[in-house]
Amino acid sequence: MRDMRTLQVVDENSGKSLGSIARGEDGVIHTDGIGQAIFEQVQGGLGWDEQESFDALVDGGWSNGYVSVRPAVPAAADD
Amino acid sequence: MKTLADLSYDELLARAAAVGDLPQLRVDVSPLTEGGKRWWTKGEGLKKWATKLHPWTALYHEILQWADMTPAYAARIASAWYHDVFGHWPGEHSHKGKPAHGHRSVGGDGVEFGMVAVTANVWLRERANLFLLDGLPDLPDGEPMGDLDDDTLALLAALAELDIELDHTRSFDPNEHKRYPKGHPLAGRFRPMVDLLKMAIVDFKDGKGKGKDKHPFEKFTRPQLMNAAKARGIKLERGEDRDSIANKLLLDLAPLSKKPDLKADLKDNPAKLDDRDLRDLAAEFGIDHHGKTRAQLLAAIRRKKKAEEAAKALPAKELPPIPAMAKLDRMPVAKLRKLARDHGIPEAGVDRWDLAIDIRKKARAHEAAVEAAAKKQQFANLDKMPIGDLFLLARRHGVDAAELNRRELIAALKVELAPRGPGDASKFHVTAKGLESLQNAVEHGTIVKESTFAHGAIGDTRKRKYADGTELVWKRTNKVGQQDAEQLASLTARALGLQAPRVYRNHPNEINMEFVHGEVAMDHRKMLAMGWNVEDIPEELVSTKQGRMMGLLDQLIVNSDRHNANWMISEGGNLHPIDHGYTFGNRPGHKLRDAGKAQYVRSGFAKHYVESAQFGYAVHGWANNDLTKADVAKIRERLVALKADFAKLGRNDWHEFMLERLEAIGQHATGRKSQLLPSLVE
Repeated sequence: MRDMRTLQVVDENSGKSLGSIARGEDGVIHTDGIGQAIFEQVQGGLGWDEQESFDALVDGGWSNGYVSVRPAVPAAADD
Repeated sequence: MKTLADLSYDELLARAAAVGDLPQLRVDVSPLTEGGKRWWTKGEGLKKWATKLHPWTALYHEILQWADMTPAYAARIASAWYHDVFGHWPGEHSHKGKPAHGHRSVGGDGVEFGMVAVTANVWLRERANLFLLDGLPDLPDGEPMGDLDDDTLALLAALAELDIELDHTRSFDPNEHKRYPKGHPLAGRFRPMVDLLKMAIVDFKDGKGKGKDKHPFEKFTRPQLMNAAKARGIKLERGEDRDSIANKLLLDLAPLSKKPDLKADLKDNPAKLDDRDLRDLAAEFGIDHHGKTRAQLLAAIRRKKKAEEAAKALPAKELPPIPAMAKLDRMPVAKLRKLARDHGIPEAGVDRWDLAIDIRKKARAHEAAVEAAAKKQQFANLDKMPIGDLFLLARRHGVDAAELNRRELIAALKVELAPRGPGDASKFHVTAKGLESLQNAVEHGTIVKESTFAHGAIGDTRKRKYADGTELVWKRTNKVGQQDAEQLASLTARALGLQAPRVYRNHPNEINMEFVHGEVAMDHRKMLAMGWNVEDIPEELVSTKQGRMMGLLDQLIVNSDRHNANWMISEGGNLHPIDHGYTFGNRPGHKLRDAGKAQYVRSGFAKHYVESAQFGYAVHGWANNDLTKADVAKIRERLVALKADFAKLGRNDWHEFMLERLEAIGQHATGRKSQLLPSLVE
């Protein structure tokens, strides 16, 4: 099952996770690893606020062709 | 008890002196005492505010413009003058035209402006209930307007400023208004209370931003809100509750409008748009600005704008539209299941998250099917396609559908969807030399494998493999500037000898980039050894010739995104810069300026060229670097050779900026050993 509140930053070549971007229940964005830099890149490029940028990432993802952001697949379901 | 209003002017001055404000007041007040108030309340100045929809607000802003005036003073004075002119207090609608009786009024005929100012100042200083407005007439609901405390004055100031800003179709911009203006006694200091309120109000009304879910007046008491409402002339019912008053205050503001945008200028004042504005607009509408004159570009933008408006005016489809994923995420599960049923998506036994994703998949599948149908059989299917799908295709491919009938729209789509030939690339490339293999694959090859990595508002990114083995990264975005930056940064990098992927382009919104076989820096063993650091780079890489050229590239193109997912390491340790969409100041809020000035660029390689603080973004200036003077001369020669490539895309300003920047860096070149790599620009 996919978790739409957590986005994973994935190396498309190795399949490894390089970080994450998540939105908490309170709407606060949390990032890990390279997630912060990519989130800033996306947000700065779009000129949108955090929530709009996160929504756009959830909806269509982001990629430079080598690293991508997409909804995470958690190991265990939480609902 | 004798209140301030009973005091003579001299007594007020004495009182002011006692609280320590006299020196300033004497200077500030005396010029106005002579005729200022008379001019505003009886003379020419009267028409500047008394005839406005919100006279108090208009007057408040006129007063606020004077030097040394704070919002609190201005509000107080505005109230007093308003009373002088209209014979009642601002909140006293039903008494309009009737003199107040049985109560004292401050700022009556015999009171000069100076006196009011002193009164206000003393009041603010003493912060006591001496009071200026202690005797206001009772209002119809039997609730007299009370003392305006500092918080209420701040609220009034915020609402009044928003009145003006919204009237001018300009919403509050914290960057513009965050500090007191020049000439103000508090010039340069932040204005937290008024501005925070304004931001909270704008967020709440606009339904966006951090304050969208929090009522901006949450912390105000009923009396405060009631006083503010009355001061703004809002009629209240007897015993009206707090929430209702708060809502009336919000409704009293003009509807929020967007900042004056380029689109507004396009309609009302196109002469105001400079070339850069036009390019931005063109990019926003997905129009290729290359090779167009200003007049042609303006005409194209106008046509596209009409097309968008026409597309929006299309009748609603039978099925409910599928919202973005984020909205689905927040949608109640029952509504989600209904949406799934409406679209024929099985929902039984599927949890809500997977269901949301299935719904979005359905939406994308529809778009893909429409596109596939269009491309099949030499576009014969376009003739049978519903008009809604034709518009969908038009939007996806940037076809201007304004004023086109069905037949014309189909013809335009056939042109857009027809396979592109090598001739189209000549709009973007001075020469195809060095791009032959890419061109051959893109123009004549067959895609045997395609992986879509992203497909949405941010852009469309795919990895494609062609039958001849060519692999490339294909990117589409509606921002032409990003594609220009990708193309020109690649050429610049290659001129510096860096193995940046070549870029082949035959469409303004699309680029084809060579695929780099290597590891993303972040995932490289040397980086992993440093432990998840997203920007730091091992010295053994930074200090190589390639590392120095990476830094120079990032300085020249002002790269704000060289984090460790935006460069690669290939076998043999070669470094490959990738992803240059946000360079050359090409992102919202950024502009190319001060080419000769050292500035922060987000790149672990750039440290060779600037003196910066150990932490943070502070850059103190250019640092001496290891390039030799001969290196700089050679690099300049290579970059000058790219002039035609920049000109081809209408980016002469980027080229000039880059050379100017190299000049500044070159002045600090103190190396003795060449750091040059051989140029890769063919």
